[in-house]
Amino acid sequence: MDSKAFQQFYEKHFAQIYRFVQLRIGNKVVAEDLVSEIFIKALRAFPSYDENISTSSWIFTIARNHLANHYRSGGREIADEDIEDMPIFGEDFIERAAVHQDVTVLLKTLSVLSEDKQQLIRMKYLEELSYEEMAERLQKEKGALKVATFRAMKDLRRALEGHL
Amino acid sequence: MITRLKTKIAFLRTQRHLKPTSDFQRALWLRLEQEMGGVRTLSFWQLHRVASAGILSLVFCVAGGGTAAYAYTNPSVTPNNPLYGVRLSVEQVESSLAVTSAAKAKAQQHRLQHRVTEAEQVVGDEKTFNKALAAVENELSENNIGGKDTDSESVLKFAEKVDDQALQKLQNLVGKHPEAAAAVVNKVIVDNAHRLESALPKAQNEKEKQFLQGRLDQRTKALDSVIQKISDQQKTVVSGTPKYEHLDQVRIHLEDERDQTLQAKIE
Repeated sequence: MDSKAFQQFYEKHFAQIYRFVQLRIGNKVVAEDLVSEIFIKALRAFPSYDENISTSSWIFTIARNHLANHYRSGGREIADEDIEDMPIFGEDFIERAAVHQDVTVLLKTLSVLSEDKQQLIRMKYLEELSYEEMAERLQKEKGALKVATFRAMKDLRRALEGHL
Repeated sequence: MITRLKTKIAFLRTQRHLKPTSDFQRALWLRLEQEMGGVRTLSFWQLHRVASAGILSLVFCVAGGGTAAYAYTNPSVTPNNPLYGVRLSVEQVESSLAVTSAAKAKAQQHRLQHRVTEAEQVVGDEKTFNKALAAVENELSENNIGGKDTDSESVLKFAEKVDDQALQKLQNLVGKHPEAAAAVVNKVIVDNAHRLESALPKAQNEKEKQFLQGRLDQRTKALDSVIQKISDQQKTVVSGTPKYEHLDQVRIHLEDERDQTLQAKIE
């Protein structure tokens, strides 16, 4: 096990995975538990990780599976791939973020857009992924994603007009 | 243009709420290092030699800045948390470095406070909650019938204070969560009272005997308070509400337990 390589991997992906989990779980305490478990799983499987094949999608696959298991253990039926599309923000997160009214308006307006558009905006502006990372995760062309995200943001701004 | 700017500000604010803390990042890394078998530690003598410099700050320093501090102080690190082992390790180091009676009592107070806080955090998860309360009971027993260092009056006073605080917290727990906590909190107090009773004949001197007797009295009062809190809860809910129906049985059970404890004292 190359501990230095894993440390670099951890530093690169820690914040992304935390945001990915926190957005879908919404509870800080539970999110921290899940992120810890995800990285422990990643560490154990790290010898099979090949950066040349995948940069970030490997750890996101682990995270998606782990979240799906978490929901299933709570009695909710959910497929692994549905985790990616979950357009939800946990109650705890909304409660904390809603201290600012503009955040509440933003989240409400965002939920009015189509699921595809929500996902693009969420990945780019909330999970703070690069277009390369989005392309890898969604298995789409970077250029097409750029255009689609730009259009989604335009729609969001139009919907927000007069509300912010 | 204004909407664009306002949207950007709203996104920035939302991002702030999604940001992990650096303490958590470092704490998790420590846990992963442990998993890799590469934990940085100092030998006991090295730690002991510099203990006077400040036990905990040293431990936190050795463990990598705020890393262990996060696990040690964060109430969300409960028995189910992967960082729980880090918390217990720091506690062990603190205890092993405590060379004076006062320092030992202080280390024990920290452990007891942690156990009670952990129990508060996991109300609702029955299995973990019972486990956490068992740990509280264990620390309470250590605190009272350890039989060590009871020669010092200041240590006994300190132990009394710690014990009172723990009992108070347990009672508050019943006030906040009667449904989940009433029966188990009662059990913790009663079990602990039984241990005190069995320790009484072994008391080495009058001071120690008085101390144990005083603690036993506190447990009887705590049981009274728990029963009172349950009665108060019953008064505040509409008669026949299913949620609190079984509290009456719990109350009767508690009264029986309390009477038995009192009976044991008289005998």
